[in-house]
Amino acid sequence: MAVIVDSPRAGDRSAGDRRRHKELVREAIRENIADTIADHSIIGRSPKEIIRVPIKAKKEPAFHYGSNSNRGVAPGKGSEKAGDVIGDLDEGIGEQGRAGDQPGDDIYETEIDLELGEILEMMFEDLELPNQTRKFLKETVLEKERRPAGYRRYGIRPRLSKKKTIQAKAKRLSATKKVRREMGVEEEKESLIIENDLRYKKIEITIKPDSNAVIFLIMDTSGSMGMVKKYYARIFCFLFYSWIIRKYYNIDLVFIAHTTDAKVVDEDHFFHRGESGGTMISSGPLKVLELVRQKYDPALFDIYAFHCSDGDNWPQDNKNAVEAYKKLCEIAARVGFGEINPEDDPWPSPSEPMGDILEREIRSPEFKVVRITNKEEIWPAVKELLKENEGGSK
Amino acid sequence: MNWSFQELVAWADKIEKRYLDHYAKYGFSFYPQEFRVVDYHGMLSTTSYLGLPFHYPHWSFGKAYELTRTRYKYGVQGLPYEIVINSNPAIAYLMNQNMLVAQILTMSHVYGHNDFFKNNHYFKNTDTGNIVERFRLHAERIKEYVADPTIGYKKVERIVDAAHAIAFQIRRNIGSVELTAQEEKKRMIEESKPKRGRWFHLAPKKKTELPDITRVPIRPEEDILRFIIKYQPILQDWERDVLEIVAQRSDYFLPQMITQIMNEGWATFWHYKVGREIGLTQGQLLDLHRMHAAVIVQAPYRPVNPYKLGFLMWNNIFDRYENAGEEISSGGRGFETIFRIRATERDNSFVRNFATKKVLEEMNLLEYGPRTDRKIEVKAVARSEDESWKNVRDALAASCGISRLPRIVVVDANYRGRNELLLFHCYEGRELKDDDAVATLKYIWNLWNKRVVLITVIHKDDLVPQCWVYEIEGKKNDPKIKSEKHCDKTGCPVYKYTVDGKIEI
Repeated sequence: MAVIVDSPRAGDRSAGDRRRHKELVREAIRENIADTIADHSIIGRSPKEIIRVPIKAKKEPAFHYGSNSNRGVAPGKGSEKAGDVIGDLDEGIGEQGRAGDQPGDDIYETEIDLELGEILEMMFEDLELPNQTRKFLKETVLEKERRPAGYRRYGIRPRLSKKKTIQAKAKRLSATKKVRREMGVEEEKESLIIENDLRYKKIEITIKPDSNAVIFLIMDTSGSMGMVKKYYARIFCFLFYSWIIRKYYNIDLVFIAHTTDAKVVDEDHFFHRGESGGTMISSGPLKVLELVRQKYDPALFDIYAFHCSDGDNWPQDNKNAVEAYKKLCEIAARVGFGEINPEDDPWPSPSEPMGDILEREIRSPEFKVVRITNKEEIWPAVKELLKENEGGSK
Repeated sequence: MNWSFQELVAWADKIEKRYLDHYAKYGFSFYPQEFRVVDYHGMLSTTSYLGLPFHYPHWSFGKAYELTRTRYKYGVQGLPYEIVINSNPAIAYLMNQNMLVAQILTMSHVYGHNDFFKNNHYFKNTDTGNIVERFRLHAERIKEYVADPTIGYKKVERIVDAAHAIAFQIRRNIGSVELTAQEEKKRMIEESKPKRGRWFHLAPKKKTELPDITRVPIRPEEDILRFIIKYQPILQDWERDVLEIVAQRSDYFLPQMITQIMNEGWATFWHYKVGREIGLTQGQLLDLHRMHAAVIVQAPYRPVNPYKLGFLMWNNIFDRYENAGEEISSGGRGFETIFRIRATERDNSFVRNFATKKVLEEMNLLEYGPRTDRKIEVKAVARSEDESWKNVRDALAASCGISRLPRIVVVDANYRGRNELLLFHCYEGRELKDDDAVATLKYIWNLWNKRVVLITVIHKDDLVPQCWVYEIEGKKNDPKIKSEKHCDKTGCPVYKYTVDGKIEI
């Protein structure tokens, strides 16, 4: 006789283990924060936003057979003959890839929902930013103005207007003099202030009407951008942005990608290179100038521009680039040129790097060249770039 | 859901009765069967813990759960509709949302597995009456270690992680008897003594060389897990206990791994037979066939479906022996033969001895291998004009069952006189995946606490085998890994290690 038992779910057996696994993956993300940042749009987003990070399951290694031994027995279509090619060592057999019981990289959908703020925190830790700075970067402070705007009957103690309160009492007393006489209210009571008399100052908060800025981020997208470069570039742009946004009510963010000519793109495209072709650095600032003419009147907008590049330029273009930048410096509050060359990512440049040329030729106070070779240099570079701005505020 | 509990019980009894009345006489026998009806979540959970009602906690089961759930959600993988464990009574799980015919098919299938567990020779050592309780106690003990303030879950997790990495580097010699170390030493001494053959007194006197019987291990040891338990001097008792728990879990699963094709094929064979014999209606039979087809589906270039291969093989064996004349006489007729085979074989021998050209052709099997231009080409096909189909059969026999697991042995626990652990990979043509091998070595090094050396063979890009060595050493938490060419002997000393104690390195 078979025994059949009805056992609907009694508690969730796997809950603890699933939680622990998620924790371990989160730790892994923390350790590899560079990857996460490199892969997600972070600029211009609120720290409260949730980013879904699809996570790779934590690996369970064991002794397995590798792909160079991709040999074995498999079911085919029946029409194959000895000598037919049915795949290659990198992809496995068949059109879709590997047969055999090789454990692949298990990517599965359980994503970790991380607040952007958390990711930023991990990134700041990675950069070893001082706590003060971290706090500072996470806040958004708007340029606000407080104007006195009359009085009201409720408010906080520090805003109590004594003068007006006394006046209100005096008004009340004089208005009710006759009534009080008739009702026989005593004189002493007259000196008391009652609730209705209280008056508080009213403050109106207005946003400065001319608090507008536009940030142009320019990227040289010729050639390939490795994970490390992407990470640095993204962090730099993010920090640059975070700093500037504190001062303005309204910021427009424009991403410009260029090779030999420039076009406006979105954040994802900006950080995903892959176009080949020559580099004409001048196309970046020229595009900026064009957009400024069309949309961003320097009288209404504070203009910031930052150009990330490997440093290589088509030599004929150098002169144009210098000219373009000079023009840009005339109208911008700040222009930066960043050479991002991670140490382990060497590309020997055949010609003089752009940064050197620009530094030499352009002597405006608004212009700054920074060079970043490792992640410890990113934050100092941002600070340096924005240094003069700290003192002066609008 | 179109069934009631009573109906389910009635069908279960009908199935059991069919097996007992008609097939017990050929040898069909099973442990008392218990079915547990669970919901979808229960099934996911159960799958993650491999069907065992009790199991020690570990994050890898959380991962398995998520993975299974995702794959199921996207239709990449169907939930196993059946899970049954090798225990007495045999516990099996049914998903409550499945239709009646699915349950009938599942139950018939489960009895097939039950019979296999009870009768196949490689399962003899499993203590089925107590295994569930044993696992429960294991789980309890590990939880106690986790709760113990002097240990805590991080330390336990560290050990379990390491144990899992080498979980299947355990003794694989089920059913065979090995000499103990003492016996082995005696044998080696005996063999080294000069033989007194007929012309003994004429032969020039040779100095007797005593074999080195002091090496630990005396002969290469494949049970790395237990070796560490026994010979690592500074492991805590609780650590040894945890390692032993994992080793015993592997012992339990090993027979299932080495008989996967046979076992699944067996259960499929029986669900298909009995399913059609217990009086389903036409409509129900249609459903049965449809579900059966899904079980034995096989797409080209995907892994061999053991359900299909096994099913075809059992049918093929049955037909051949049932309809044979007196030529294949000693085995008997169809049923007798298949019952005998299911008791004595394991996948490697099953395929090698009983796979015919017809079965291989039906599955369109082919043998493939690498080429120097980094392409993969077909080496032999089942559908051959000549005898080359046998290559396919032999390749399959050499790569299924236990052969899916690389064999790594401990060769010396005091390598270079410095208590370093020397491991050989018993290379048989396939190389280890390098990043996993290094990661696993790290875990072994975590346990062994001194340098660990692995000698293996890798294939360079031109596919020429090259003897290779990985070494891990360093301070705790700061491993240094060396990975380099070992020697110039292609085909490598790994092959040449000899049992009499001489290892040429």
